[in-house]
Amino acid sequence: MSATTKTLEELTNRKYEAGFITDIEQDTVPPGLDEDIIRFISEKKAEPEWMLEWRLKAYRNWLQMPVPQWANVYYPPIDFQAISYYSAPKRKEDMPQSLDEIDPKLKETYDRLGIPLHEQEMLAGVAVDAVFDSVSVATSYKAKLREKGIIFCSMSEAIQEHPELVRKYLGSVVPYTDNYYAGLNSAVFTDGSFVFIPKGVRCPMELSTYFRINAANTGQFERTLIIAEEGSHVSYLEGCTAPVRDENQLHAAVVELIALDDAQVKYSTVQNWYPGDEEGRGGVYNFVTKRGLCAGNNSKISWTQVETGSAITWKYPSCVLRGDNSVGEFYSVAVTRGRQQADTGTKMIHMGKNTRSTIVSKGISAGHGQQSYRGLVRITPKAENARNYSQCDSMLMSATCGAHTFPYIDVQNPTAQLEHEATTSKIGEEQILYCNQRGIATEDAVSLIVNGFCKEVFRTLPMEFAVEAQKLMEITLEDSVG
Amino acid sequence: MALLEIRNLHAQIQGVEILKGIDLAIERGETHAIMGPNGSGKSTLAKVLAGDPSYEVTGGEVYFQDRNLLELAPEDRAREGVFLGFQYPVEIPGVSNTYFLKAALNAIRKYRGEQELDAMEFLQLIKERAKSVKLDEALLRRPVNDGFSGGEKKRNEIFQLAVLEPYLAILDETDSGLDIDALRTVADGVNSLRSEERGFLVITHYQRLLNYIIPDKVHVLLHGRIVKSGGKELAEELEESGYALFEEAAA
Amino acid sequence: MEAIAEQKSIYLQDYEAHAAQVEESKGLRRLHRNGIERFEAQGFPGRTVEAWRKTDLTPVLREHFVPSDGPGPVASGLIEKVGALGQAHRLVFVDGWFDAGLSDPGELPNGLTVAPLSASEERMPAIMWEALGAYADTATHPFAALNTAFFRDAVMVHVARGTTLVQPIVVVHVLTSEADRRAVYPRTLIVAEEASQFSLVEHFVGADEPFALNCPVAEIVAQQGANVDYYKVQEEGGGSAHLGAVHVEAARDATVHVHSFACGAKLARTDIYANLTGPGADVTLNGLYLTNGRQYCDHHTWVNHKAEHGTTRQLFKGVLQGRSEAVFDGLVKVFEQAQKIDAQQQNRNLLLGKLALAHSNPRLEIHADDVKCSHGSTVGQLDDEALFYLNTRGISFDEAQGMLTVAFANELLTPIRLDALYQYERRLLLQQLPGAEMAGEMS
Repeated sequence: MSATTKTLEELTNRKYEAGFITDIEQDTVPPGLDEDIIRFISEKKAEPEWMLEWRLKAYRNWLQMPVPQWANVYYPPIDFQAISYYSAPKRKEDMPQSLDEIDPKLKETYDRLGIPLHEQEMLAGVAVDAVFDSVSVATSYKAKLREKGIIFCSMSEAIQEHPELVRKYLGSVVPYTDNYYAGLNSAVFTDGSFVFIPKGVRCPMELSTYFRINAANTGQFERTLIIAEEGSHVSYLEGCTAPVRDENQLHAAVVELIALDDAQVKYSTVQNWYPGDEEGRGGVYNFVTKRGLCAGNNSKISWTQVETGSAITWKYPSCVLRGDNSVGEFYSVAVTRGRQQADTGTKMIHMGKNTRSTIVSKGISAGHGQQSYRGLVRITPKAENARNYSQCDSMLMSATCGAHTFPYIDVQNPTAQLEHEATTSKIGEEQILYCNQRGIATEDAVSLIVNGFCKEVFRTLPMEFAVEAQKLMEITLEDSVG
Repeated sequence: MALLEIRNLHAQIQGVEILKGIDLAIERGETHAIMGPNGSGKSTLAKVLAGDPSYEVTGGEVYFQDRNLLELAPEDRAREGVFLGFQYPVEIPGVSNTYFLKAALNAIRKYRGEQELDAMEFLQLIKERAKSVKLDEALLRRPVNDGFSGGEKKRNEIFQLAVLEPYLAILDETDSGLDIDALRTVADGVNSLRSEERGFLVITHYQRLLNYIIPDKVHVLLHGRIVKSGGKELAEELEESGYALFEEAAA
Repeated sequence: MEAIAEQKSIYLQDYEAHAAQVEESKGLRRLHRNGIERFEAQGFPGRTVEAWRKTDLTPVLREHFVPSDGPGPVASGLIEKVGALGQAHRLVFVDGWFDAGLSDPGELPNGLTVAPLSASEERMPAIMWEALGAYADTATHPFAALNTAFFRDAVMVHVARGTTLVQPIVVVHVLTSEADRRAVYPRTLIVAEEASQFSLVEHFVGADEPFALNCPVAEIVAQQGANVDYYKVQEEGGGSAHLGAVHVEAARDATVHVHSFACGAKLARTDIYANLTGPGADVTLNGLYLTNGRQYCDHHTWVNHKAEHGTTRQLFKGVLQGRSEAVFDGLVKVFEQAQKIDAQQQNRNLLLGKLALAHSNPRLEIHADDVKCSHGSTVGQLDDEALFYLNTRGISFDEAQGMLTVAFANELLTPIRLDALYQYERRLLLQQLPGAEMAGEMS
């Protein structure tokens, strides 16, 4: 093995830094899944009858669904009876009325993760909803947003306070019949974020949800719903971490976005769930359904994801471009190292006229990491003058990792214009030697090359998070150079 | 003291010996050409001097301005003033030419205890150097070699050479794949950078490059050894008769 | 099935009659025989053969094209075209027969051999004999096989090591009205030795009326470090069929530019094969096709990256009018050992006719893991907004359309490095487009 290869391997073996466990009293139901558990969750949240009925319908449908096998990932069958479907930190009252009432231990947890919940300490202009295991523990800047008519709260609260909106939109983009894990989520989801931006309003700050799995043997099933009315704009970011545990944790979330005429929704994810150890023990199974509906003309939905964590990632943030002139975007950086596996990509369904979509996917594999890009671009018969640009780049950092690309194209209208670019490259001796030969040290060279590779995606993140994402990449793939 | 002195250099890759005892000395201000057929060890010599870790030096010494070159990491060789113009310049997507060169130049300056250049000074410097080697300024903002044509890549190597101002420039088949016009531009760039301070080692397969870059000395490399050295007329001789003449000497 | 079997026997009979009649060297006889055997082994492709699925060969298969038995008279309009590309080493073939009177090889510099095979068979260097027929893919291209069986004469071009030519080589192939229901098999071999540099144009012209089958095959061998520009201009009359093949073999560090300009014949197809066999080889395949009426024009490219550090660039653009139909089908195959290659392929079609039809089928087959490949294809109309914008500035619809179309096509004209050819193709483009004269003046 040459010197450079060795350095690369050292650089790609790094510890998970968000892996601590918060020692807090939790209210957790015993493992198992049946209608009683669903009734328990619904009752715990004091949900209206229609919500419980919807959950039960979803559950009964889910029981009939086969476990999907098509993804290019490998894991032992999940025992859904061994998972606890509800876990929440114990509190004196039912809901924290203000941020000051949050358990200091929880606050400390978020501080350690770099997510301060105090408004005065927060990143300028970012409102945060923090979800700890199954429930939302705090939402900041609520009042300020309220002035503009923006609703930003936990899903539980939305069901209580805005049932008409939830009833109208929940499941309208991702019905409970959609797929196995979306079905399960519909039955047992416990919390998540709810965003409503009224007509003509530009949300004045970044909205952000921070998800953390803490309890052992729990699943996290959150549900996020974002509705952007005519002419409104919103940018939303989610972050995720989990402690180091030997067993696998299941995270099966559903995110639904709706953009009406001239509305724009930008959804960014920095996913850093615990990836498991070197031998592949533990780690989060991240099986997520994310879909946006460009329901209105001239609407736009943009997904950006930076995926560095999870033992297995299986998700395809997608856009249904129903409105004329609507735009869908998907920008992704996914890193797999150790024994991580990822099967991720997007679907762009063109239905309206002059719809446009852009796909930029960057995959980095190191160690024994395995990664697949899976994308579908469908141009339906009525989608005149649709355009798609797809770019899929894979970077391999070791001889034992793998990258696979499955671009599916289905064109049913001849006026479509499609372009596809693909590269597979090995970061390796040659690029590093070239940098060395110009006087640049190896550590700097790796950082330079990796950041250059991801640049097009980082550029699409809100500025504060672009810096975060770049840092996350650097510490994920290399030692911090002293 | 010679600028570069190579004594009995042996090197191998994956257990196969490629360089079998090279002796070569280059003085400041001199331009040497190494010619030889494919597989004779020309590119290996260039890579070994630059410190490519895929090659293993099994014997001999290399001194560069009296420093033992073989002890230094590749980046320190560059910082000492050894520049390699790559046969196949490497692409670094997403990293602009300007950013890359700034990182390189400042790393070199820092190593030498010189002040790092600020953004304005640096910009001025690269604009001036781009002009001097006839590099399109638009290429400065593009990612390093990414999407460049063959000719642009080679010109970019000469441009980097002009910015980094090394004491020794090794040009590994910088002429290969170029048409006559591009070849002339590259040669003009190299000629404008020749100075009393700087030595050049021009590695080529084709004699025609040496019509434009006139060397002080020409060496014929065959089977990992220099079998003949001479003046520029040696290149013409090779053009006439090919390498067969030297095969006996090599055997 | 029976129809195809019958076709085979016709061409085999032709071959046998021809072989009995003509005296030729052993080498040539072997080559011809090999051609007819390869043709017999495959026959004409049916619609089930993937590579020929979109090409409707019915008009060609219905006819029996007898090999042309002599040159016809060249009309004055065609004579003009013969000299259209200016100063050059020029060879002219009429209905497949060398025409010494129209040819003008000029003074040949040292290192250049350019001559018809018929006049130079004895003094051809051994390397030419080895190369002739060694590259054309007669196993899968039935018309390349037919050419190999029947070609009477050939253009032999040999450029010695290190030679740079000042003047281009121009080969003009003329189809006269005598070629009606005749088959013509132009054959070209170009061997560019190490580090040589030159341009060569093959210009296919013809009278309007004849229903002729023109089946040219060119083999281009670029040795180490050679630099070859090969231009093919295909503008036979609207009655003919043109089914040709170009084979490029690029060795280490060789650079080959192929430029295909196609606007002639009723049914035209050119298959371009490029094998990059040496490290650092660089091949560009460009094509511009202009179709009108009920013309059919097809480009198939077959790029094989067999060595590392290779570069290929393909850009094919079509301007389609009337009820014409065009096909671009390109395969880039990257072999396992061909690491660090960079292959780009683009196809863009502009439909000016509402009933015109463009098919685009870019394909990639990659067996290496450190490569860069991209492909893209578009089919579209002119931008209505841009048209309207020009209209509001007083420019008529036709003129505006011409202007935007010239802008679209220009990307393929500007890389032409022979000024006379650049001007010539530009004129052809302007003639094809209503309202384009003004655009021609403006840029």
